[in-house]
Amino acid sequence: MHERRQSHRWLTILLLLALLLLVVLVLAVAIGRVSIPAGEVVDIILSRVRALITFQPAPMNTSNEIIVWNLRLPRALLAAAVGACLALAGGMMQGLLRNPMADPYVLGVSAGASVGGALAFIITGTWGWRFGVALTPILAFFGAIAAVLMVYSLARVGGRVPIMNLLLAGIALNTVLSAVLSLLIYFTNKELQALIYWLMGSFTGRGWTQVAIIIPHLLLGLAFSVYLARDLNALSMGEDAAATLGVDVEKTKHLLLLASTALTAGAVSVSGIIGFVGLLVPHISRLLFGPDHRLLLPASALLGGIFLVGADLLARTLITTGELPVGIITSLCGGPFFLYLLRRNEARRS
Amino acid sequence: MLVATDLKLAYGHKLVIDQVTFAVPQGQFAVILGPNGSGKSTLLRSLCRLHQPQTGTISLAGRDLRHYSQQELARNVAFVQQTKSVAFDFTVEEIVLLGRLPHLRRFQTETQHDYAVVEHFLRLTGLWELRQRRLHSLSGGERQRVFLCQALVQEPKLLLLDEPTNHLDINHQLEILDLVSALNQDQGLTVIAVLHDLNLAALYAQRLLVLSAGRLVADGPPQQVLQADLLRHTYGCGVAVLTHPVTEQPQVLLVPKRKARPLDLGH
Repeated sequence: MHERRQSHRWLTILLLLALLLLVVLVLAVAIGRVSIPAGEVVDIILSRVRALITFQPAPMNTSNEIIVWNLRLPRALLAAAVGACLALAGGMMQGLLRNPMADPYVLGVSAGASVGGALAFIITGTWGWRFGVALTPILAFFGAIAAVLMVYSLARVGGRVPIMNLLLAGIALNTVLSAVLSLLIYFTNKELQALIYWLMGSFTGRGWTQVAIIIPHLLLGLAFSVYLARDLNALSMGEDAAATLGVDVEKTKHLLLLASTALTAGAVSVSGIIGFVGLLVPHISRLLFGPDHRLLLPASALLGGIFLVGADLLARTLITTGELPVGIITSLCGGPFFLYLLRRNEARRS
Repeated sequence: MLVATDLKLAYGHKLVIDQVTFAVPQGQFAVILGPNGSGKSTLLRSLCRLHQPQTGTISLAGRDLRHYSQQELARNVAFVQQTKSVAFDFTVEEIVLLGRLPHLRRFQTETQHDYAVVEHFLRLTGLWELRQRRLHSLSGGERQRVFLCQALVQEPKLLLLDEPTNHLDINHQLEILDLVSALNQDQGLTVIAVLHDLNLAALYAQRLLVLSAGRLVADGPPQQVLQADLLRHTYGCGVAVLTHPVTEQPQVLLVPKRKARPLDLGH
């Protein structure tokens, strides 16, 4: 009987988070240079969705409709999806490496993806919709995979991967890759501003195209997280313990690495580097909801969405002229938090 | 139950297990002894496939260990490691519940039966009242019981223990081994444990296997194996063997090296 209570609790938490995400999304669409009442926002979205479902294209009549449907809604959805992807990737990496300080940004995976993405940017001169495929996410994925393999093999000593080695390898790789990026920027003439702005981590000027790129990544990541959640719990006991509990450890590790890399690459290719979401969000959900990955991962995805939509809203509204890159906001929140974790870790050890 | 034939295992060029052959019948409580670096843990770990012997075979219930799927193996063999660390702050119940993993299909949630098994062993190990506590808040003895309980919840036919009494005070050492011994006597659970403490081994084991430099140098009941000559040879230090006044099992007393000579003369 207490197992039923537990799944009730999980469902309640996830539903509440989903509701909160909806509220934040509506707020993000309503607030801006032109304020639109929340009721009107909901009406516009519902009528556009109805038109989509019934295949009766209705013309956009008011400027509010254009602002809501063409500008703010895709941007808010993109922020939610990217937040969810980064939080999921962070949650998976933390589980895989058995350490709450792992995160795609800290480990240099985001940087790897951004080098790949920047290459695509330079090759195609634009968002990479050449050759009929999205080149940016593909090259970003290869960049991220290369970064993961490099960090992992650099940090590995005698079959073990100590976390300090991993963090140091991440720092080293981040340094090298940022130099590579600078080099790429140096050789770029056209589209320079766009490339730099993209790298800073921002949702400015993104639309339905980017939503279409990120959604498959997110769905794939969610599917993997459901598939692997219980194995991640077993991995928390250590690799040997997981094996004696019947988990195929090597296969699970490879799938986790693949999934978290794909999630990071997807996020980076649509929004550039947005740091610390993958660190901050799973950690907070672990404090709030406990360490069981079956709840932790979906809750982190929702919380990541809420966090990033909120951060993007701040980025748009904090200053009156132009807007801030959202990556600056998340790093301002995440950097100190990372240092706090590091301090606490050291304090615990001594 | 378990038959190991001609095992040989090396790390690189270093031979760790050398031509070890033994069989453990169902329902036996066997203890592996030996000095540091004699290959005890490696041998134990190879019995649950955490190490692969280079040559030789291990068979469990008549089937080659290599032919078991990972999950099938976990339904038959449970292993309590020597060093255990849990990465995140799980509760006692969450950790113990993971022991049901080998019995569940991938997307299956735990059934009433799984929870009944968990409750049974939580009560048996005296952890029922502590089930909502976080692992990090428990004492060493309680923690050890949590990991033992997780292994028991797997409902294995063979239980492997790697120095289960390490870092525990004498009362907790007895508590753990009494529990395992009771399961061995009452349920016919087969147990193979690595122990450092010769006296504890003598008190609980029906059979002792002594390893030295990767080779099996003695194999038999405690009375037969715990001989002063054999132990001096294996461990390189002087000992005296007495009989336990209560249980009548052999017990080993250490003799400091500087005082060994007069005692030897007294022989």
